[in-house]
Amino acid sequence: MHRALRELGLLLLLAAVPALVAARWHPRRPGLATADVPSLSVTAAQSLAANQPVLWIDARREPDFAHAHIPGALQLNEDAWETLLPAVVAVWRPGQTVIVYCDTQSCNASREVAARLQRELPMKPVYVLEGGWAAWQRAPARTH
Amino acid sequence: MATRTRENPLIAAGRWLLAAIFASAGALKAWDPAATVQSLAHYHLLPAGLATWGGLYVPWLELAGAAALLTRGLRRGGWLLATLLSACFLVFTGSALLRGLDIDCGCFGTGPGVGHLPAMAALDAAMLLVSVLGLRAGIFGIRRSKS
Repeated sequence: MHRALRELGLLLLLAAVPALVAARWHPRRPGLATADVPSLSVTAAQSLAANQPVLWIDARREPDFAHAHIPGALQLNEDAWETLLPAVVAVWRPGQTVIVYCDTQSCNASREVAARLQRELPMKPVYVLEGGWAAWQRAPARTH
Repeated sequence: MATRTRENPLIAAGRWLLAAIFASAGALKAWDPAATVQSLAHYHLLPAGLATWGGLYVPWLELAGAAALLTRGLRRGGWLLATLLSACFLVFTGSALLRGLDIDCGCFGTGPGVGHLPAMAALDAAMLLVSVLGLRAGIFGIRRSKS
């Protein structure tokens, strides 16, 4: 058993090397630098939206967006970035706050989209909605 | 002195089959890490950061496991890794089924109709069974041959 464990340790180390290379150089690597994107709670986001125009971005997939979304939200995700981005850019005004959301707290799509908006356009300020669509639905005093 | 015992043909067949499954699944996932991370996130079991690293690491673990199963010197580690991976996959697919999640498994990459969850959970269970049998034969079979 000791030898099996030693071999397992070696395999874990061997697999880590290409994984780290992929994290740095793979053309379809996930955005790892998304921790810099600030987040807002649903309450804070609602307060912000009550005082200034906010551009809501829905980073979920098409069926989820079609089923229901935050009123006024535009869809934008990595799967259809080039197709959906023009509509977002057309609506966005410089300095306008952008809040991106996906399904839940554990989904990563909103952070990916928010990081890409900051990096490529650049849009600022951009926030991620804490808890995503699930938290928005649970919030008692959401605006419509 | 250790004597080399002949591998059970059924275990050998299972080893090659497992290696083929892990190699194909790992290669397809490693091809598109961003999609793999998204698939992992859809299970809602890991925080976003961990899902990101998991999506990057797991495909290469599968490929390493496949290679180890086909390499005499690393075979026992390969069985152990295959057992751990299969158990993890079964926890993910099984919990998704129990929670009624309507998601693709993401086990062999992504795309319409790829990775029907119940079928993939059954495959994970079968892989776990084969891995445990192989691990048992690989470790305890050799120990018996030494005594």
